[in-house]
Amino acid sequence: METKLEHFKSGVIQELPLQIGVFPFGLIYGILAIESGLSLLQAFLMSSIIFAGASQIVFAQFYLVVSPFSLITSIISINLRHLLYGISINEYLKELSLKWRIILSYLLTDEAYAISIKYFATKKNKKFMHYHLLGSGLTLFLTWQISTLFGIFFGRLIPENINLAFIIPLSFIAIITPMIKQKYEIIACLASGILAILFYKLNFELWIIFSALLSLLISLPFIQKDNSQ
Amino acid sequence: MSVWYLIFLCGVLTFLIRFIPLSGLIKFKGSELYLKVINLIPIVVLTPIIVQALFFDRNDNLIESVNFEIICGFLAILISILFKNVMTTILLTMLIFLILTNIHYFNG
Repeated sequence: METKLEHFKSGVIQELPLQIGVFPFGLIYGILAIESGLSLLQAFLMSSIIFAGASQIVFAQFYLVVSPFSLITSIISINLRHLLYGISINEYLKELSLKWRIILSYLLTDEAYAISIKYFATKKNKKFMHYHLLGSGLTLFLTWQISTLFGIFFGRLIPENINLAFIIPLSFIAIITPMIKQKYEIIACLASGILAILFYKLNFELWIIFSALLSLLISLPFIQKDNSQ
Repeated sequence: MSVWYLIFLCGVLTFLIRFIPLSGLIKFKGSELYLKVINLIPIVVLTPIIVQALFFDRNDNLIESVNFEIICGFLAILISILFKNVMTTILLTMLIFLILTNIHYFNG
């Protein structure tokens, strides 16, 4: 049976390769945050207060041009996927104390979830397993803080012809493509993509929510059909 | 609303979204339909963000011709299907994207 330290080290080691993709993401956030007019302290501390890449980028891009309500609803909609992560990972963490669940909730990011849920599913002995998520989560947290600082202070040194921002949609493609297997999932994806194009010009702060909710409605009959088969 | 308030509010909301399923306060044992709808959320939320990055230019206009972003976006889907690995998809596609967008430097 693995010790706490062995689980923790596994989490750190397995999370490390993903940091190659996370670092430029943090760098981009740091650059955007400063360019958008946030102070150094606001830009840096947001990485620990919110600690959610896409949300922070949306915040930095839109906080001056949309209402607080629109900004908050956009950030909620972007983070809704974490509900799903929580539901699935809760199966392995429900025996933990409240203190642990608070710490691990804070560290539950896309990359930490992806690494740790795979690890949890392969382990029969669940004792101390949560140290793996602590290791993967803390690794990502540290990379995120360091890369934010680099973006804030050295972002301008990056040549303009290197479009690192393109890593963001690429990361999202890499995350969602393996999730799309069923017919209703393909329909939902296509519908939300087409609706995003239709709604984008109408009201840019609501295009994500409108596209997401309508595409869920469109795919409902196909889910029901899938259930009945 | 002050920027600091907004940052803290967004931080609290982000944390709550992550914490609620782990809190044990709400039982998420829903119907099969409910679980399938919940499973679709990442797809329907992230796809519009991808579409915006691939199909709209810096001035928020729908692009009218195929560009390197679109080519590499579709390439990323193919690589992701083939390798089923987030890092491989990002690194391979980004490498191709950087070569394509800077090819004039190589040609002198």
